[in-house]
Amino acid sequence: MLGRKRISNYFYIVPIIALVVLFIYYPIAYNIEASLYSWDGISAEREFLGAQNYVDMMSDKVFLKALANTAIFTIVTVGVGLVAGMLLAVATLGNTPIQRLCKTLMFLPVVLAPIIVANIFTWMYEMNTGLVNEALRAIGLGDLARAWLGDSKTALGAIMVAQIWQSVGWYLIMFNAALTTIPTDVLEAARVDGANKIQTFGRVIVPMVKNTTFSLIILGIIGSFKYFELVWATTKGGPNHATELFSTYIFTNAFDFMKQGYASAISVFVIVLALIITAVQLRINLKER
Amino acid sequence: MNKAGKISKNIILMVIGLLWFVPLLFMFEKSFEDGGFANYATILQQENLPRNFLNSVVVTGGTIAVVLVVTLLAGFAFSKLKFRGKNILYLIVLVGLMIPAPALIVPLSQLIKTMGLINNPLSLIGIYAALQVPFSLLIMKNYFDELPTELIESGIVDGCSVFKAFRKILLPLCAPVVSAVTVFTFLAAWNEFLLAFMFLKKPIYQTLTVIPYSFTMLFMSDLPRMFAALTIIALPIIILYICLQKQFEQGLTAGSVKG
Repeated sequence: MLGRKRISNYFYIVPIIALVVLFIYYPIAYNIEASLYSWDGISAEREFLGAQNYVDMMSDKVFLKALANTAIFTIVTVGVGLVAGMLLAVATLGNTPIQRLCKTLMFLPVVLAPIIVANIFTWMYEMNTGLVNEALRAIGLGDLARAWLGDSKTALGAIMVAQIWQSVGWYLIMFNAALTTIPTDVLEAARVDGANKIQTFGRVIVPMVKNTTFSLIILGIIGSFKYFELVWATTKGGPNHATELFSTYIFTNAFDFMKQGYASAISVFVIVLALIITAVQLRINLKER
Repeated sequence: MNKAGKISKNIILMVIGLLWFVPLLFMFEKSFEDGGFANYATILQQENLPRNFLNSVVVTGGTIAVVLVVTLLAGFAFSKLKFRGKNILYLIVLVGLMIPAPALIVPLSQLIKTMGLINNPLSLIGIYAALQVPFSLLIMKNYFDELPTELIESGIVDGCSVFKAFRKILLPLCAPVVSAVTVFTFLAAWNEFLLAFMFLKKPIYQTLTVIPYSFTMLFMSDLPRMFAALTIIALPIIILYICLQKQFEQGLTAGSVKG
């Protein structure tokens, strides 16, 4: 019977355990070990440093910049995604042709490769022929025209706009699916009780999609730790590290500076941070339930 | 809602939708500058392009197959079978969900190098699958949890082995979850760039996402052709999405609603 514990039951999970051990846990262990050395990734010799890489990290201005940028990037893109996604999900809840069209157009970027988005936006932001600057000139705001990705004041913002363009449709679809699970009589009851639209939204809709919101926050944060393409394909973290993220800084250290021990130390830091953030969120989520 | 309100809401939605379409229009428009369709002809004549397309198909198809087989088995076991260490093993897989791929590139690059798999597109299948299985398992297990245990128990009473009962009774009921997992595994594998770019150096072995980068180098001063290349790479997935809109949206939302 199913209830019996048998050895053969393990056969079902051997493949999945093998996959994650080989390609996730072995690499994590490798990172932890490698982070204690100075190594260029090629030569036979490497030098033991102990915790020196981690000490260096804390006084590395570029690393701290990458930490700050990743935090800003995550908070802004996930925050905007949640708010815009929820509002748009409510606005497109019916299935009129216009609502469908709006949903489809907003969801289109979600299925595109981020590397394609990166290339499109590189040229949208370009100084002379870029659409953004052309539009500004057309409405008489030509003074604002600039190389958006080449200016350290605007580069991170410009990249966040591109990421928001790509991801809002995802939040929209997720909230849309969650909203369809709210029974219509709940909304009807709110209306009968005299709640206006804003009250219904704030007191009925938002609390009822709380679980979805929690999942989206976790998935959004994990997603932004992975974010790489747009930055790398446009600015490579520049100008002057204004767009440096964890991902680009790990890549640059490992394969351009040939400091693989240091890159591993940063990787370990990022993994620990990701685990802590998820654990804290799950705790909050469980408490709220 | 009154009529004026409805109309203004529709107008706002139209404006947002069109605004969202502008970057794609920009891509199409740029791709026809100077040469028109000749730009597309030039790109389509790139000798490696069919091969790159095939590489993407093989890598993506392989990843989907591995993810489905592995997570169907594991989802069933974690949901319906008993064995020692079940919770901790489940947790071990799920923690993989929180590990960002860029934090694994140093060890993975050494691993692939040691195994002599640089320039072998097949090497990506295992890695992509490993990165996808945690989330897929979560969805699979939730799905199996919803299927009544009596279904399979009755099969076993009738003399089936556990595996046979799983295959004959539960598997045929799994179409919705299989399609959901297929959709987001497809998107993740088809669109992946970082690892493909790191491991596939020779143009002939590259997958489609790596192509815009080499085209940027090749057509640096020839923007319209670069955009034609982007459009050609983007079109299959746009068409696929428009044809299978419902499956895409249901697939991507399958995991989150339950939370």
